[in-house]
Formats: sequence, C-alpha cells, structure tokens
Amino acid sequence: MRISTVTMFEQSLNSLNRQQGEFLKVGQQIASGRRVVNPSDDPLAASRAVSVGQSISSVEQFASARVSVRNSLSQGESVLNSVSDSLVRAKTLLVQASSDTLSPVDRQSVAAELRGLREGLLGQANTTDGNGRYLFGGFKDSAPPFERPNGSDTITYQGDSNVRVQRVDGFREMPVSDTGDKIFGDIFDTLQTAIEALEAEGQQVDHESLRESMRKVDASFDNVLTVRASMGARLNELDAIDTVAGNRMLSYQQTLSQLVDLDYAEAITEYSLRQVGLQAAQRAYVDVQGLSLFDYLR
Amino acid sequence: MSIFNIGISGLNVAQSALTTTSKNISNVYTPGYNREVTIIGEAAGQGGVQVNETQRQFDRFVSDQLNAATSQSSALASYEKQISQIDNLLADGDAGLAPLMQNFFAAVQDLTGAPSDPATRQGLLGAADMLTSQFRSFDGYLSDMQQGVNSQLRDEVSQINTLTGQVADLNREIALVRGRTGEVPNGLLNQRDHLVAKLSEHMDVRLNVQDGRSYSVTLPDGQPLVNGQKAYALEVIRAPNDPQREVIGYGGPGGKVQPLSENAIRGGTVGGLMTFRSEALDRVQNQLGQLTVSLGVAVNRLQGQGEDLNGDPGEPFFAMGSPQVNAYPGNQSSSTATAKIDVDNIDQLLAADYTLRFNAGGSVEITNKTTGQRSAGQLDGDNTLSFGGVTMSFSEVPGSGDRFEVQPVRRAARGFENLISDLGKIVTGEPGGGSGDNRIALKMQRLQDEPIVGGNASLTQAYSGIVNEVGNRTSVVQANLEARQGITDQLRAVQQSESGVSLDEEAANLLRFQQFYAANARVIDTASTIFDTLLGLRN
Repeated sequence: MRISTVTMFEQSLNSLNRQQGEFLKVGQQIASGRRVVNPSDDPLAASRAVSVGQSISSVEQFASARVSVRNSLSQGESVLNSVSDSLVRAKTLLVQASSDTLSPVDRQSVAAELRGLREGLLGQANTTDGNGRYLFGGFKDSAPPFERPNGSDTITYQGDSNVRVQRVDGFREMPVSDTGDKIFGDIFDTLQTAIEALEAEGQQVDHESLRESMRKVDASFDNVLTVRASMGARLNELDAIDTVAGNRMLSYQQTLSQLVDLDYAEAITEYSLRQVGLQAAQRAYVDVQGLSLFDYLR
Repeated sequence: MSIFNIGISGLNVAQSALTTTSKNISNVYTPGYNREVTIIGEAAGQGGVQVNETQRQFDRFVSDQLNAATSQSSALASYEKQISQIDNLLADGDAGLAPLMQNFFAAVQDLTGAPSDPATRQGLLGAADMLTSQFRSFDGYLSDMQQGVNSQLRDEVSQINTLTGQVADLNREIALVRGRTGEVPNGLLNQRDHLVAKLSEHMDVRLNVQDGRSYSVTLPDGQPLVNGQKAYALEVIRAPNDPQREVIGYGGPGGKVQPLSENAIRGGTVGGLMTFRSEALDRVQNQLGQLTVSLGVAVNRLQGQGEDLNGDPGEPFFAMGSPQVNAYPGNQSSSTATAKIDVDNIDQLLAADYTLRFNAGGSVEITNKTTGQRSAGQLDGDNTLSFGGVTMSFSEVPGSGDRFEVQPVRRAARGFENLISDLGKIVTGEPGGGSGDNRIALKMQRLQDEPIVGGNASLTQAYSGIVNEVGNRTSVVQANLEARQGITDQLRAVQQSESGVSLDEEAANLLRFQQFYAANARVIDTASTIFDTLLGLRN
C-alpha cells in the first residue's frame, strides 16, 4: 500500500497521543490514589460506592445516636443510684422510728430527716439533662414532671407515659430513659403518710401505718432497682452494638476501598509499562519523521 | 516526425510531469488536496509522446465511506465531550449529592436525640439549606449544558449553511469552467469534495452526483440541502413542545420552516449534540428532578402529620419546581393546561416526559417519551387527568388531535428550596405530643431507607442509579468512539493511500523526470549534431 506523508505523520501522532493518554491516566490514578476517578472508569463500582457510602453514613448516624442515648441512660442510672440510696436511708429511718424507745422529739427529728429525703427525691425526679430538658417527664420535657401545687404537700406527676426512643442500630430503637410515674410510683405519697404519722401528737406511733409505709418503701426500692437494671442492660446492649458496629464499619470501609481505591503495585507496574510505550512512540515518531529521500538527493 | 520534434515532445512531457510533481510536493499538507498524476501517452503515429491528462487521484467510493465514518465518529466525539462533563460532575464522591443527603439525615438523627434543642434544629436547617442549594447548583450546571447545546446548534447550523452555500457556488463555477474551456478544474473539484468532507463532520448528509458533474447534497431523509446551484438553509428554531429548547428547522424548496424531528440528524457534531441531549441530558435532569420531588414530598408529608413547637399544624418544609406543560402551537382548541404533583400517587412519578394526544370526547393517548410506552386515559368530569404521579387540569376539553407536552420533574430541582427559617416551625412530634416528642423526626430519619423514589428505590439507590447510568453511558460512548475512530483512521489511511502525496515518491519522481528531461534534451542535442553533420557535408 502507498503510504502518504500525511498518513505517516498522522499515524505517528495518533499513537503518540494514545500512549500519552494512557500514561496520563495511570499517572492521575497514582496521584489520586483512586482506581475509579470518574463513574465511567467503572460504573458498577462507582454506583456501589455510593450505596456503601450510605451504609457508612447510617452506621455513623447510629453511632452518634448511641452516644446521645448512652449519655441520657448514664445520667438516668446515676440519678436512680442516688434515689435507691435515699430509699435505703428512708427504710432505715422508718425502722428506727417504729421502735417504742423513741421519744416524740426523736420521732420529730426522724420525720424532719424523712421530709428532707422527700425533698431530695423530688429534686432527683426533676433532674434535667445538659440542655435543661427534664429526664423523667416523657415527651413533656420542658416543665418539671413532678409538681407540688401551692400550699400543698401533695406531689403529683405532670409528665406523660411516653418514652422517647432513638435509633441506635439498623433495627433497634432504644428508649433513652423511663418516665417518672414508672420510676417513682407513689413514693412521695408513701413518705408523706409516714411523715404525717410520725408527726402526729401522742406518745405512741401508729405501728400499723409505719409497717405499711415500710412495705411500700421496699416495693419502691425494688421498682427503682428494676428500672435501674433495665437502664444498665440497655447500656450493656449499647456496648455490644458498638463492637458489632465497629466491625461492620471496618468491613464497609474495606469494601469501599476495594471498589474505588488503587492497587499501587499494579498501578506502578502499569505506569512503567506505559512510560516505556510512550518513549517508544516518541522514538518512532522522530525516526519516521527523520526519514526522507530528499535527504539523499545531493 | 523528426528526431528533433520527438525530443521536443519528450521535453514538454517531462516539463509537464515535473510541474505535476512540484504541485504535489507543494500541496503535501494542503487539506483536501488530491495528488495528481501526469498520464503520458504515445503521440499517435508520430513517434513522439504527449500528456493525455493530468489526473486527479480521487476515489468516490472511498471518499463516501470516509465521509460516512467521519460523521459517525464526529457524532460520538461531540457526545463524548458533552457527557464527560456530567461524568466529571459526578466524579467527586465527597462533594456529590449523596454526602449532602447523608448530611441532612445525620442532622435529622441529631434532632431525634434532642427534638426541641435550638442547636439541633439549627443544624437541620443548615443541612437543608446546603442540600437544596447543591441540588439547585447541580441542576444549574445541567441547565447551562442545555443552553450550551442550544448555542452550539446555532454555531453548527451557521457553519453548515456556509458550507452548503459554498458547495452550490462551486457547482456553478465548475459547470462554467467546464463549459468555457472543456478542461477539468481539478482545484475546484478538490475544494468541493473537501467541503462535503467538512460538512460530514457537522452532520450526516447524502451525496448524489448528478450527470457525473453537479453535487446534490441532501438531509438523511432525502430532502435537499444543495440542488445544483441552489442551497437550502437550515435554521435553529424554538421547539414547539418546549420554549426553552432549540431544534433544527428546515424550509427547503417549499420555504415554510418546520422543525425536523430530533432524531432526523444522527451524525456529525449536530447529531452528537441532539442525541446527547435527548438521551442523556434530559434524562439526568429528570432523574435529579424525580429525586428532588420524592424527597420533598416525603418530608413535607411527615411535617404535615405533626405539630410544630408552637402547637400549630406542620407547614411544608421544602418547595420544589412545578411540572411543566406546553400546548402544541397547532392545537385546534384553545385549551390550556396546568399540572401539579399528585402527592397521593407519588410512587408512580417517573423520571420521564410525556406527550398527550387527545381524541374526541376527552379520551387521550399518553406516551412516555423515555420508554415509548403508551397508555390510554380519559378526562374526568372536571377536566382533570391523573397519570404518572401528576394531575393535570385543562381549561376546556381539548380538541381531537390536540397535543400537550408534559415534563413532570424537569424543573423540580431548579426550584428546590428550604421553606423554613423559624426554628420553632420544624415538626418533630405528633399533635399533642409535647416538646420531647421525636416520633415524626424518627419517621423522617427512616425515610433514607424507604423506597420513596418511584415506589421502588431509596434516595441513595436512585442517586447511585444516576451515577451508574451516566458512568455506563459515558464508558459505552468512549468505547464506541475509540472503535469508530479506529475505523475512520483506517479509511483515512486508505483514502490517503490513493489521494495523499508521498514525499518519497515525489522525490523519486523528481529524479526520474529530471533524467527524463535530460535524456530528451540529449535527443535534441543529438538531432542538432546530426543536423550539423548534415550541414557539414557540403563543406
């Protein structure tokens, strides 16, 4: 076949361009550390990377939810810890008070301490979180869940029985707290009854009433322990989820890396290969362009 | 004939051949030049030599093949150039739309932890602002590309018109020269063939040679662009079905300019642009719109189910661009139409455009322009029509044959906005739930896993679908371009092997004809010597 001068020029130039393109492509991959730079480099990997990215984002969301739930539960647990201490103390006081050797004055001082414990419990029941939101009021977290109407000694629950849940894992929505009515039950009434019994005029205490109060304090104590145990269990569950989620995250990140990241060993081999190719094309270009019959016409 | 005359005839021929060779050498890099060969023949009965013709080395068959291949590779090249821009736009995984959606839902998750906290509410508004502005700017980029296609079409058409005008002029000139001198005007023929080759880069044309002389150039469907000495211009006109879109119009011999169908021209830069627009650009813009509307409607619906911090019913969170409707100019009735998203049937909303064609009595044929699927519909008593996740209202019953173009989601992303600026207006809970109620926020968080796009894909799946589709289309176009370019290069080498100048060959010719000339000069010298010898006899 006749080869025209233009063809010789164009073909050398084309192969030069092609080699240069391939060389630059590998260079770009090495510079970015990514095998898939544009979706067209590997459409399937690029679109799967988007999905894996979403999975990673979900895992991160759940991790952040767990931090928030853990805060809330730890705070709740620590409050309940104090509450159970107060109840133990109340029980001790009631046992002391039921002794016949106690003078009316001593009973008054026991009553006074019980009153103090009751006030303390009220404060604990109205604990707020870092944002000033009440922990134990259910959805009604902007006002104290336990209120004492003016001039009265009665304490009533103003919250609701809803518990906020948060999504701590793909298929787990966890209650972040428990509601005040469930935790505290009728403890305020119980203590009030006991206080009133101790403050009553007369030499003898109403033993029957005190026994009833002790029974109720015991029941409350059990209840608080149960709720505390449930919060503790949830905290343990969060730890377990953390471990599993950590593994899952690692595996997602590995998948993502396998999808789009560069295998450097392979890329560098390719890089050297392309470099040789480009050099050869350049050499060929110079040689071909340097050949002319005119050079021999003297 | 005398030796002397024979020598002179040889000298003349050698000179002619050297002229041709020098012409070839000087035009080695001239685009469109076809090499010439001096055809030498015996001067009949006289013993001398003569130039029969100076022949242009041109093969019509190869040239036609090359032009067709050029049209195809130039179409793919312009398609590739365009779609690569979208491919690049989607390239940066960290700055794409997926992280912004994830960011939005992460803010929703923060809200579930502290529903009435101003900081988490502010965080959500910030994420929503960022999400909407990036959707808008993505769409803005695509809209700029739509405008870019319009203006490139104008450029292309003006160049095509110049070229066809020049072909018509050359038809006339070539006829004139032929008529006047009877000679073959090789230079003009080269120019004309070169014009046709250039035309093939812009669009696919058909070439017919009439009477072996005059070039007639037509559109792929056979309508004339150049007929003899007359050229018919193309125009860029507004599409009848979309005021923001420009298409190619053609008047032809009749003179009344009509829009050409969008797939009438498939080759050349024009064909590449048109195919890219209808196959890729419209599609991506619709997919983005579908994503926008699906997200917006789902969030707005949940907001509407609850109560804000002031105890008021929730207001819409997002605004989206409305569906577009265009009545065809030729409709017989003056019925106008509007369309809105049919929130209750949002699952049916697709990333597609529709053409409605009415028959008598309000019955209508609905064509999905993406899939080509047709379905039948019937106008309701109150002149409304629901299909594909949109509800249309007509001002009156359209006439038989009336057509409407509906683009449910094309402009949705352009109008995507966060409507809420007052922190208290974000709805997190159900009516009466209180400030700590996060039930609506939890439902919003769950939206990211639900198949809210077209009833079968989550937001991420839909977005990764866009990435996959654009990536695939780009890589297919790149592969096709490479293959097609290989064929074109091959044909070009074949064409060049026939018509291109080889300097080595010309150098050899130069040497050869120089010797040829010298030999003939020697013949004359010899003749002269003989003559002198004869003259000397008398002395």
